[in-house]
Amino acid sequence: MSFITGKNLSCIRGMKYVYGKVDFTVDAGEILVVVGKNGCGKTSLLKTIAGFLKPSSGQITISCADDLQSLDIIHYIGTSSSLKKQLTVRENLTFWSKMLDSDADNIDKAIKSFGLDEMSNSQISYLSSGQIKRCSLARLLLAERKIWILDEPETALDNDSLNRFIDIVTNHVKNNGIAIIASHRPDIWPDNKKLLEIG
Amino acid sequence: MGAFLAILMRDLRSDLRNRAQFVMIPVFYILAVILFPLGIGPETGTLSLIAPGILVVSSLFASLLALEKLFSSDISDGSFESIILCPVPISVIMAGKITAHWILTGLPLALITPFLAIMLGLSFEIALFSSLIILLITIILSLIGAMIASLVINTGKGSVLLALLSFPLFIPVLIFAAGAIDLAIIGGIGNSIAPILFLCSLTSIALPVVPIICAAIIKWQVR
Repeated sequence: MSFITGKNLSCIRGMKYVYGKVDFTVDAGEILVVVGKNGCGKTSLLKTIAGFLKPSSGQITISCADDLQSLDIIHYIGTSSSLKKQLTVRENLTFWSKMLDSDADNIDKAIKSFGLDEMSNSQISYLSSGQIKRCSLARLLLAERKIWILDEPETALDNDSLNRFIDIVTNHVKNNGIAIIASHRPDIWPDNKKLLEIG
Repeated sequence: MGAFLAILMRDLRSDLRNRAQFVMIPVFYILAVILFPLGIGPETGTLSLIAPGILVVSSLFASLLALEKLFSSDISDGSFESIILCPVPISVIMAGKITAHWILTGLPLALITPFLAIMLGLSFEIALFSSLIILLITIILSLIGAMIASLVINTGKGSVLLALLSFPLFIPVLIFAAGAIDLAIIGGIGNSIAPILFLCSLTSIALPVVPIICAAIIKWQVR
């Protein structure tokens, strides 16, 4: 049995049919790249897997979790940054480190891995959108979690930052992690990825 | 406790650096109270007669002004989505957020109140007592307001709906708070035990219950 299985999933929000008849499986050590046009339901599907939305039909099974609501094995990084503009990069990451109940040493590791050293004491409001994106993604390294759910993480990243981030994701997957990524650039992700086209 | 302090410190730091928002509430309170003598006239007798109502109603309006921002930034920047996936009870997060909100918006009102009360012709003793009452009611207003604010964050008509839904719930607080100061003016502070007990019991019920209700509403809103 696969680690995450989605069977015959569909989602209706308001009166709108967002996506339907989606089936997928993801195992430990795999990347699932969700592709599709704008508005085809990629974000809604990711939110369904993360447990924020209930599917209108179908079922998601995560093999080690009985209760989707109480999962603490998922990192979800959406299109919003979850960062406070008035706080510095370090203050924001320290906050999330406490929320994730993780080791404070991981903050320095995350800052270094995402090349945020020089701006670690700058307020988020003074950073570019690419730097904010890197800071938001740095939360992934604060606490170890098996499943990374990422909504268009490549947006606003320059080539260097993007390559660095792809290495981080590849490393996570090599260590038996799972990455589920909504992306408009499926070609940038490692060759052994699974593609899921919706819409 | 760690998560409570983390969210409390984050919100305090973040809001204190956004000075315009932090200063706006006390300034609104001062201006609202000052407008009454300008409109009614400077006679101390008249002003001290209606001073309890002026102080309580003005603090209520000032508290209402700040409520809309309580949860809106966490919804718009996606913080709540990430917080829900953290191994921390959401009610603890709500308690931290409401406490930070009260420290930044309610506490300053209570600290300013003695000066405004003296300006309205109340004695020093009653002015200090008024401050205590404002301290107590701002806690209740923050708690009740947080509940309503969590309900209306995704409606797009936050401020109007917030006011419409909050006012009926604020009425008992307004009556008992103004009554407590009135009774203290008439027969001394010992005379206003009953309304104070009512306000204290309301606070002691709301303190543990509201964060749990807000947590449930926010979870529902995020989903």
